[in-house]
This record gives sequence, C-alpha cells and structure tokens, in this order.
Amino acid sequence: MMDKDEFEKLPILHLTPGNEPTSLYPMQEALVPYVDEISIVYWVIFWSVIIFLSSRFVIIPAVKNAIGSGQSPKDDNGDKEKA
Amino acid sequence: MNFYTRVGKKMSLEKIGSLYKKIFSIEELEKDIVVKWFFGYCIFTFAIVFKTWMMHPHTATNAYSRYGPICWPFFQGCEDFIFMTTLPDGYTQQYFYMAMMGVMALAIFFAVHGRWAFAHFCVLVLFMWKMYVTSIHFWFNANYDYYHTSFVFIFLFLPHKRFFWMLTLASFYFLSTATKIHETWILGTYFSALKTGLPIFPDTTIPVWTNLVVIMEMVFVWFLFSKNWIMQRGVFLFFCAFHLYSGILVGYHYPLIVFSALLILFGYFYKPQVPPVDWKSIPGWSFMLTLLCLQMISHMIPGDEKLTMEGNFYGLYMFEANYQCTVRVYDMDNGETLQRISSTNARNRCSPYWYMKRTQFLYCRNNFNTKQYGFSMEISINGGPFKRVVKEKDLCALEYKPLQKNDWIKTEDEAEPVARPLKNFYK
Repeated sequence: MMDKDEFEKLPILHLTPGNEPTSLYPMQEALVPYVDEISIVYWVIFWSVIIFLSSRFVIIPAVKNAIGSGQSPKDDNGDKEKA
Repeated sequence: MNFYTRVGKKMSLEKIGSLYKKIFSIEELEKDIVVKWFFGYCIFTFAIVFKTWMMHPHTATNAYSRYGPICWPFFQGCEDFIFMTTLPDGYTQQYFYMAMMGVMALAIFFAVHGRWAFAHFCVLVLFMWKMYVTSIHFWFNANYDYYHTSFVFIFLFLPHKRFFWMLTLASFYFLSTATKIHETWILGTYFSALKTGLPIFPDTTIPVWTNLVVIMEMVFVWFLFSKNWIMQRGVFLFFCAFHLYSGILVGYHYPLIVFSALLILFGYFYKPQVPPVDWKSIPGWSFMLTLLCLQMISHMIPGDEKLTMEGNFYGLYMFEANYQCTVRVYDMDNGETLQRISSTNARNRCSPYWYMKRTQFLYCRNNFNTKQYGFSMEISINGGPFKRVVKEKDLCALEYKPLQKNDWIKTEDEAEPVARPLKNFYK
C-alpha cells in the first residue's frame, strides 16, 4: 500500500462532490503492515485445505479402491453382486 | 407405412430414449427428491435470469446504435453472431425469450407427468439459449451467472448430480476466497471507501467481519458436509445469515440463485454424503478441477488483477475491489479532450479492456479516418490513489490478449499515482 503521507499529498479528484476523502480506520491502520503476512497465511490455508480434502476424500479412497480390488471399481461392484 | 416400419421406428425411438436416459443419468432425476428439487431450481432460476436479460440492447443489433457490442476477450469476433433486434428497433429478442418461457412451461408439464427425460431436454434447450446469449456479450459474466451456469451444467450432464451440486456450492464459497486474499478483505477497504460503509455494523469493526467471512468460506464451509448435526446446522445457519445480510447490499438476484440452492442442499433434505470415486464420478471431479484452474488464471498473469482486470471473469470475483475511474480519449494533434467518462459506482469494474473496446467502437470504426487518438485511464481501487494504468498514443492500434499480460496496461508498481479519491457509492 502507498505511504500515508505520500497519499495525502496527492490532489483530490472530486468525482463525488460532498463526500469526504477516503481514509483508514484505526484497526485498518494497525493491520496495514501485516497485509502481506496475512495474505501468505491465507494462501497456505487455502492450498492446505485443497490438498487435505482431495487426499482424504478422493485420491486415497480411489487408490485404495483400485488396489483393493486389483481391478476397476465397476468390476468390483460386479464381484460383490456375484458374491 | 407398413407394420414392420412402424415397429422398427418405435424400437429406435425407445432406444434413443433409453440412451438419452443413460447418457444424462435421468434415473437420478426419477429417484432422488433433491434432484427433482434441482430441476425446479433450474426452472425457477432460468426465469430470474431471462427476466433480467430480456430487452437487453447489447445482445441485439441495437448495440450498434450505442457503444457497440463488447465481446469476451477470448471471443472478440462475437459480433458476427448477433442477429436479434429488440425494442425500439424490433421484436426478435422477445420472440426468443417468450419461446423460452414456453419451454419452461413445457418442462413443468413434463415434470408433473413424470416424463423426466423430456423435462430434462427442455432444460437443455434453456441452457443452450443461455450459452448463446452469454457468448455474445461480455456483460453476462456476473458471479451469479457463473453459479447458475455451473449448477445447470451439473444438472444436465454430470452423474452424481446431488453430490456434485453440493460440492460445487461449497467450492464456490471456498474459491471466492482466492479473490478475497487482498487488502480489499484483509483490511476491509472495499467497505471503508464507501460513503455508506458496512450495513448494520460500525465501520471501525470492518476488518473483523471481512476476515470472519474469509475464514468461514475458506475453512468452516466444509462443515456443511459434517455428520455432526450441531456443527452442520451451525455453519448452515451462518451462511443463511450471511446471504440475508449481503442481500442488503446486493439485492435479491444473488441470494435467489445461491441462497435457494443452499436451502435445498444443506437444509431440510441434508444427508451426509460419501464422495463418489467410481468411474462415473470422473466427469464430476474433472469439472471441479476445471473450476479451480479457471479461478487461478488471474493469479498467473503478472500484476494485481483487481487493478488491471487481466484474467478476471474466468472465475469468481465477488466484491474483489471497490472501483472509481476516469477515462479520457483525446486528439493527439492538439490534445483536445474528445470524450471523458468517469465512474464512481463501486461495482462497476473499471476494465481497461471494456473501455478500450467501447471507445474503439466510437473512434476507430471508420477505415478512412487517419486521425490518431490518445487513450488514458486512471483507476482507484478501495479508496487508494488513482493510478494511471493506461496512457497510450494510439487507441486504434491497441489489441487485447486474453490470457497474458498486455503491455499497454500498467501494473500497480508501474502505474503512476495521480490523485486521491473521495468516498464513493455502492451503486
């Protein structure tokens, strides 16, 4: 983000006359230095969720299914029916 | 027609019918109450979408009397496919939309009589029409259009319809966070740059609520699938409240598309599901992977896509930034301003591509015109400085590459800050 002092030196473009200039609230000011770090944390969570869910519920069951039967899942169902 | 020909014809129609049922998994529609509701959802939401689109001049030849048709960046020759007229120029568009209303009525008729394959075919016709209209105008790319198109696609083409509808809805909440990992939501500057701020909650607490939404959509959304009743209902109620709250800003359209799906899938009819891993599930999982890849396109192109808008619209982009912008077209010989456009509507994505196309249509259509036009564009996102993202000497020479960096659009580091904005409006 742009430095606050530099930002305030810029001329105001009055596209919405009557409104006040944009500024940050104290909690936002406090968070500004950490935006990059928070972004990284969020991205780590984002990809971790994808990896965890896809492994736990799709890849591992699919592999187990394939290895367990040694044949396609369709054949597997067919075997169960025969049994 | 003799007896044998008649029997042969009946046999082949029966074969076509059973093949159709097999290809499109119509059995699920016949047996599962939620998939029947899914059918009702499709009809209900088509009515909502087409109501909004009917008499839209930009998908008709009327667009030529305005600022021209604006095609998708990856289908810039779409104008060759625009043939309809709408009022005040003609009626063609209305003929089609009313025919689609007839198809909706027919679909309901077939559903009531339990003829699910025919009802399904009617939805297929509606979907084809929607795809045609979507393809001829860049405007119909809203998030709710993305939701709706995906849901109807699942209903029509994928096996395990119920499960993949549930998963897609949850994934959309999740994927939308990829666009929220930005100061827009981490600081909540989208809302603090609005004159009216955030509804109900004090403006000073904005980051608390925006980050709560990110965490709920990224992590807790998956508890919608939980076997733990309290956890499942808790998250379900959170998202119900979220839609009712966000409707204060976005209005009825978005909740009608998304909230109704949430209620059907995770409300009364909710049953824990085991993710399918059979051969029939491969199209569904491929579809999920496609959604993820589409969401990631904008992150592959250098620069902040909230500012450059490059790669945007391939995935979800809800509330990605609060926009204000000015556009100027000027005569390169004497510097005289020929056109100035400004936008203070936070929702109006100030896309350089959009304004390039719009102004090129006005200034560059005449091949005999030897004049050179300058084109500049300043964009402010989230109440930050207006940055001169575009400053080009020859508007008519500009071209847009849909999946890569365009040299004439400057990134946040290259663009010069020129002014600061006042607070703006949501609409």
